[in-house]
This record gives sequence, structure tokens and C-alpha cells, in this order.
Amino acid sequence: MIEHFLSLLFIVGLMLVAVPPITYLERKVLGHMQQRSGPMVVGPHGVLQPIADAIKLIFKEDVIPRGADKLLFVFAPSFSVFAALLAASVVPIGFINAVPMKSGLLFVMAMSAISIYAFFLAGYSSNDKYSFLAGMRAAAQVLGYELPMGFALMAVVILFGSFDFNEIVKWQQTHGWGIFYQPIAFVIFLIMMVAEVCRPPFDLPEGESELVGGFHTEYSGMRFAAFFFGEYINIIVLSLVVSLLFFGGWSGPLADKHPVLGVLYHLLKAGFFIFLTFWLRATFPRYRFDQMLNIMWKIFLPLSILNIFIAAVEALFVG
Amino acid sequence: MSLLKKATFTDLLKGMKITLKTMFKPTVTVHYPFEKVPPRKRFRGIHALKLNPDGSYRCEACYLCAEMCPSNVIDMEMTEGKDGKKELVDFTVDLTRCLFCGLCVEACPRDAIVMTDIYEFSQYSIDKLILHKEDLLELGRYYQKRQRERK
Ligand code: SF4
Ligand code: SF4
Repeated sequence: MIEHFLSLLFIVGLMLVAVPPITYLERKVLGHMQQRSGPMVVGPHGVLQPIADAIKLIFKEDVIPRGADKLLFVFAPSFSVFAALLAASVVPIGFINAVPMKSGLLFVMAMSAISIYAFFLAGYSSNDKYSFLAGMRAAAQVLGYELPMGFALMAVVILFGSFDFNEIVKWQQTHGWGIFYQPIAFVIFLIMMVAEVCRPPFDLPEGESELVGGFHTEYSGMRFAAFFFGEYINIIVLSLVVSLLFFGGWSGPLADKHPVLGVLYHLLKAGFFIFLTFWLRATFPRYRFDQMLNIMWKIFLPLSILNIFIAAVEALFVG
Repeated sequence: MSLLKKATFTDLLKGMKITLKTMFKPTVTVHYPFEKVPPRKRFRGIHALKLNPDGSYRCEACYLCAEMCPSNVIDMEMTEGKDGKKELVDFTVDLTRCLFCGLCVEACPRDAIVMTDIYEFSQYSIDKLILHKEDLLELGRYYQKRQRERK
């Protein structure tokens, strides 16, 4: 019991502590990819920039626009963090497993799917046309990515024969990494994951250049920050999940003997995918709305359904 | 072929390769308040009134610069001096309106009004942007020192 509680504390703590450095790293990476140097002024090479940002956000005036639906407006940002943390709580990192769950994967997917409700609650409640448009986009985007993602995961689950993260990693320890069996599912899942956390090139609900700020146009101060906490925690969680499903999670050389090493492996693998989201952001322009839905529905949805058959055949031979 | 290209994300991966390469290139940023790009030789910054070697100013209050100015920036007050020459009481340059076209400098027959290379002159109060005779002469000293340095 106490062990689970400590694990939970560790995971929630890790998520909350990891966000500021990740925002800093993101700005650095984005900067260098555009031959800029990113934050430089606060602290050596700007490492204290997230702290400066936090202080700024805390002391910002908190505005609730006239005509806004007050309850939902206040509720939406906390909902974003809450859903993301719930998803984080069931993901095991190495031996640290706060809530061992038979259907962990399903739970993570459900939680990260409802975290997008925060976006359209925010869009709906702010009484602002840009936010509202962004909320509608978020809703349509869910329809776009949720199906291919679900089907891609279905294939993976058929192969591994379990929703339990521990079982999944165990399977991979005996049979080899999931990506070798399911490359298509990996690619689809990766793309849908980017869409899920609303990162470029699928950042339609945020679309700064089109919708002012998107769903967070009317938010300021800590509420604004809460949205980003939610978003970044979701990125971390999904990166952890990708490395669990396709890259063997905490398996690696010597990981059996030294569980701490396993944690490190897992975090490193997840770190790569976090970096990948920055990389995509620096590289690609935003998709237009119809383009996004076209890709999702006309290409990835049929592909992911086809992939289920592939997985079934593989499961017959390997499983 | 194009289908294969799409299926393997060739174009997208090419783009990602470029960004990754760029990440390890040196940055081109000039860290502005700490580093500055030196202004070009003929850069038109804020004005200055040049001085003669004996410390008197060169301007003889002919009003040509004020006439020439398209945005009515320059104004001056003068009296008759002891030797019957015109003497400046005040010479004001209102930087809030100036568009740094340099026409005043072109117009001056005595090469008295010039433009320095100072481009950082933001102020908290608007009156500080109206330069008076003393300020301009001070800037003139700076300008002449700078010219000598450049030679
Ligand atoms: S630079 Fe142009 S606008 Fe400014 S004072 Fe001279 S003539 Fe007027
Ligand atoms: S044109 Fe030259 S000399 Fe004439 S008033 Fe202006 S600065 Fe003085």
C-alpha cells in the first residue's frame, strides 16, 4: 500500500517537476533548429527562464470575460491537468507502478481522450468567437484521430494479448520490441499522438496565426499555465506509452538486475519522443483542417483497420 | 513512385533532416542588449549640431533645415548677437515626429546639422524626446569624437 502511495507521489511529482524544464528545452530546441539561440538572459543560457515565466504567470491578473460561463471557464483548465495526471498515474515507469491496472492501456487512452474536453469546454465557455471556433476544431479533431489511434492500439493489443503494461513489457522481453512486429501501428500511433496533444503540425485548436490563441484566447495567469501543464503532461505520458508499447519500456541491458537502470532506460526512450514532438514542431507547418481530416479518415483509418489483420496473423504465429 | 514516396514519408523525413542539421549549426543571433551590430557608416540616427574648433557652434540660424523638414521637426529661436550676427537662443528637434530622412542635413549650407549613429533613444517621458540646443551641442561633441575615431 505504502509502496503504491510513494510511487504515485513520485509519478505525480515527476510530471509536475518535469514540465518547466521541458518548456525550456523545447524553446532551446526550437530556437537552435531555426538558428536562434532561444532563451539566454535569465541565468546561464537562460536555464532559469521557466522560473521567471512561472513568476510572471502567477502575478498576472486573472481575467474572466463578461458573458463567460463562469463555472466551466474556471473548471476547464483544471480539468486539463486533472485528466493528464490521472492518465499519468497508471503508467508504470520501470518498477515504479502506482496503480497496477489490468486495463492500464485502455485507461490511459480514455483519460488522454477526455483531456481534449478541456479544450472544448474552454472554447465553449469563454464567450469568444475564436475560442469557440477552436473548441469546434478540437471536437472535430477528436473524431479524426481517435479512431485510427484506437484501431492501431487494437492491433497492438491483439499481438500482446493484454492491456496490462507490465504484461506488454514482459511479452516484449521474450519476443523482442513491438516496433519490429507492428511498424504500421507505431507510425499511426505516433502521428495520432501528436494530434492528440494538439502539437504542430496538428495544432489546429491552438492555431495562433488563425485563431489568436485558440481555446486559450481568453485565459490568463495560472489558468493559462494550467492548460500547458496539461498539454505537456499529456506529451510525457504518451511518450512513456509509446516507448512501452513499441520499444520495450524499461527492458534493456542489465535492467533485470538493476531496476533503477530500467527506469532510466524508460525515461530516455520517452525523452526521445518528447524531443520528436519539438522536432516536428520546428519542421512542419500546420495542416489545413480538411487536409487533416483527409489524412486521418482516408489514409490512416483504412490502414489501421488493415493492420489489425496483420496483427492477427502475427499473433497466430508468434503469440 | 510518388505513392511510394508518400508511404515512406520521404519528403517529410528530408525536412526533418534539415532541421536536425540546423540544430547543430552555430546560431546567428546577436544578443542585442549585450551585443550590438555596429551601425553603418552613413547610418542616420539622432541629430547633432557640429561645433567649430574654438567651441562655438556652426549653425547660423538660416532656417533652411526647418524649411526643408517634411514633418516640421525643427524649430529655433534667435536674437541678434553683439556683432550683428544671428545667434541661437534655442534649437529644438522634436524626435517624436522625425522620420530620419536626412533632408535637414542635406539642406544645411554650413554643414552644421548632422546625424549621429545613435539609435537607442527610447525615453519614459515624451518631453525628453525633444532635444534642445545644449543637448544637440553635446551630441555634436560626441559626433566629432566618433568621426575622429573612425578615421
Ligand atoms: S531627418 Fe527629416 S524629418 Fe528629421 S528633422 Fe531632418 S528633415 Fe526633418
Ligand atoms: S540649415 Fe544649418 S545653418 Fe541653417 S539653421 Fe539649420 S542647422 Fe543652422
